Amino acid sequence: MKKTILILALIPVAFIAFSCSKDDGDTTKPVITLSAPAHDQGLKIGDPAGVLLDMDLSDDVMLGSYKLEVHSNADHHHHSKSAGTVDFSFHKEFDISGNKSIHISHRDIVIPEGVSEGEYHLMVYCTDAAGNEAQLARDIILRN
Amino acid sequence: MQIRHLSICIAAVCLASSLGAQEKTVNDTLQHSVVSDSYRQSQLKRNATASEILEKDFLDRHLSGNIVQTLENIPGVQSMDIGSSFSKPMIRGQGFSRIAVTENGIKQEGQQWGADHGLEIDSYNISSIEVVKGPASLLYGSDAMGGVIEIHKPEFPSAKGIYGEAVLTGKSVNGSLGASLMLGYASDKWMVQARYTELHFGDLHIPTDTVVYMSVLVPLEGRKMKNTAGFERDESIYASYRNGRYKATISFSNAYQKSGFFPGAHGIPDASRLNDDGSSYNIELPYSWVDHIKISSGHQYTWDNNILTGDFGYQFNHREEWSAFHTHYPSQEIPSKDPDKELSFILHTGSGTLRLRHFHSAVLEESIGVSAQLQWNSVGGYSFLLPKYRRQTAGAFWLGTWKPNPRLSVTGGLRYDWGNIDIKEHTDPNLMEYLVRQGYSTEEAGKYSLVSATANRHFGDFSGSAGLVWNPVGKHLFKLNIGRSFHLPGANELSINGVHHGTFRHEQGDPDLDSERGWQLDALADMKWGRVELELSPFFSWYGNYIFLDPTGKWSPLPHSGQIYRYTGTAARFWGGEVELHVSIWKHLKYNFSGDYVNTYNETTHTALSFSPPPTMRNILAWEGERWGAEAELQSIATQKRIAHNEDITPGANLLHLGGHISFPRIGTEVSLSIRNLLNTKYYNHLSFYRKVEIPEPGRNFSITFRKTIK
Repeated sequence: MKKTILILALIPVAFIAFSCSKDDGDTTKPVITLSAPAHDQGLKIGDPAGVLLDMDLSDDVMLGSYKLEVHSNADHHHHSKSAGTVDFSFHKEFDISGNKSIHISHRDIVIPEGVSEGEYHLMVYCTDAAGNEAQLARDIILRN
Repeated sequence: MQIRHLSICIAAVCLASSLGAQEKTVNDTLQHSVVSDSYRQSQLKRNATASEILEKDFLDRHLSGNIVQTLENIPGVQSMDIGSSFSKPMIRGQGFSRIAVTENGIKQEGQQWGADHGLEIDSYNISSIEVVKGPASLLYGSDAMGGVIEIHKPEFPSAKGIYGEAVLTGKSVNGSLGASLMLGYASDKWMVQARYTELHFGDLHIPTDTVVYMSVLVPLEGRKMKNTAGFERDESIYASYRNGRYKATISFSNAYQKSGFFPGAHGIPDASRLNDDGSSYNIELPYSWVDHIKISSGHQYTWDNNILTGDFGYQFNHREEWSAFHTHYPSQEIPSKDPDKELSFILHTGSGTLRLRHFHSAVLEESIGVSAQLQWNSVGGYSFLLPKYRRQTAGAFWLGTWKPNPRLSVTGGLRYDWGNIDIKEHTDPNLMEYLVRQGYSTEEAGKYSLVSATANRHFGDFSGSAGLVWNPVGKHLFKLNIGRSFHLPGANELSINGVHHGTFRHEQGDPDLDSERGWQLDALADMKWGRVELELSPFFSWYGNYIFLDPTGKWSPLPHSGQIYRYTGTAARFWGGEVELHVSIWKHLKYNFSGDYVNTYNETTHTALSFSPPPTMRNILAWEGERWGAEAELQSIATQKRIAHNEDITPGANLLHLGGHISFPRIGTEVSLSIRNLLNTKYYNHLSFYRKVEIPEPGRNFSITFRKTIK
């Protein structure tokens, strides 16, 4: 009887023994270091040269892609739009697969004439090859 | 499913009479309103899967927030919290619709909502609750793949006449005040009881000054989470009738909950929405409310060596979420009707079970049964969560129990389930307009504003189990069970295409998903030597097709969302177990240790599955006297490093809790006191809805409960 009880008590050990598995999947997110634009930086509406975006992206295994997005941060209820202007919005995706780290510097974000002044968010999203995702939001101000 | 317990009692009647035993003992069993240790033992023995029962005394003294948080005292059970008042249960790493919660024999609906909603059950209205920590598809159908939480039906009180209780609870962490009044009347054949509960709570205090939402630092004025106040109002009536061979119950309940959402984690982050509004109890936009009505009736008839039981129920869930349209679509024209109604969801569920138990002899019994459920809904609001669908399921099962001697019981069973889900297509015109404004082509905008695709799927699958319960010398108890179970995919997993603000992700369903299927093996050893009791319960499960949200690496064009996640099936493994140790040190002084561990593994991503509970230990020193008791608990939560993609490692914590109670039997009053998180430790719950936005768990919390029993 005692032996049987001992055997039954050893069942947990057996459970653990046959169910060990290695976690070799990548769960580390990529890192976004955004240097420009700065926090609350004023950006000129209608500047044909575009907005300087300067950042470093890196991952411990392999990067995937990144996406830029600009949207209005003004609460509509308190937001007085000048006649004939619309909120500026921007979105663009970039493939950076094959890199472990990369320095990004471009002026792809161009703010056309006629958009509303005010507070906006610049969002940077970045994924690695495994699908881990990092996000960064920056407050920017659009001025005429 | 309490019917099953009653069935057992009735079975005892039959067997006892056939064996010529006294009728009186049987009546005693039936009328047993105080759950005793031997009763508990006999309940635990009837199930080959690891299970645990919490009785009224324990529940009364440990009602810290809601019933799910109390269940966390059972190793292997976790609570997925949404602030301090609402929680969802998780058993051994499985939650949501993989866990069935039953009340009055009817499976509770409302788990479809996702991570940010609790159970719609009156926590005060529970006299005894049982947790089955393993697959229970055999008896409860597809939604019990991960386990069952069964709220037992109220039993006949031991004395005739008027009875009742009044409870008053106060809690400091969110300034909550709750009251519950129950009154009942019992005669030989009848009992009727009614309960009214009302609970109000203010904004939640947390031990931090800032939280992070979408990488924006959000300040918290006065360490309070603005607009997390709410209230709950529950009413219920329960009646039971017994006359010779026939027994019936009927119940009606209504649970209404309304609570605000923390605006710092809703829509576009904006610090201005978080300015202190000077009040802790107001509920402003965004908020949600839910109304849950449940009507159920159970019947049982006994003749010769047979027991026929039937449970029937109807449930009505109505949920609405309200938030300013412009927090989601800043520059669009507001809808003309109910501009701030973000979501509305009405769900109807009808269900029924019939079961016939036949006793061939004292050693052999068989049961056959059928069950069916029909569910349909309607949706509204400017946003989208779940599609309009119609779901029908039906199952038939056979169960056998063989007891060759009083020390051994062997059980086995087989079940087949059919399921059909018919999902309607749904297009979101606001999203369409948004995408066109963003410069997407009409074709692409059309593709993404089709937030739910048509799907009509039929499923059919077997589940089964075989197990044994062995009760050798002394008080030792051993169980071994192997089971196969399956789970139907949900409407969202099949058809959704949009941002789920409960998960902050763009989720895409797959209309071709197969049902989830798995094998589970679990064991239990409960050993007693003198003053020491040791319980070990290991488990191992393997799933050939376990549905998870897989990051696709493809960017979503939807507002405030990163990449698209798709519901995908994978092979997955779960293993782990629980340890409990109880030592009677001296007189009423007791030491209890409990620990649990769950290891989840996704064989596709080679990572853990999301929401893997961290290992937890509890060391409790308790004095359990006749009139009073006190306890100190050290809860140690390990760091959860095993995470899924896009989860964060959650650091561990050591928490100190104190509790005590004193009773005044002459005036039928009991007072319970507790202090949770005495040291005001800032820590995170890996399973919390708020974890993703780095909102820590509540700080130090004093709570007090007065309970007066009326006889």
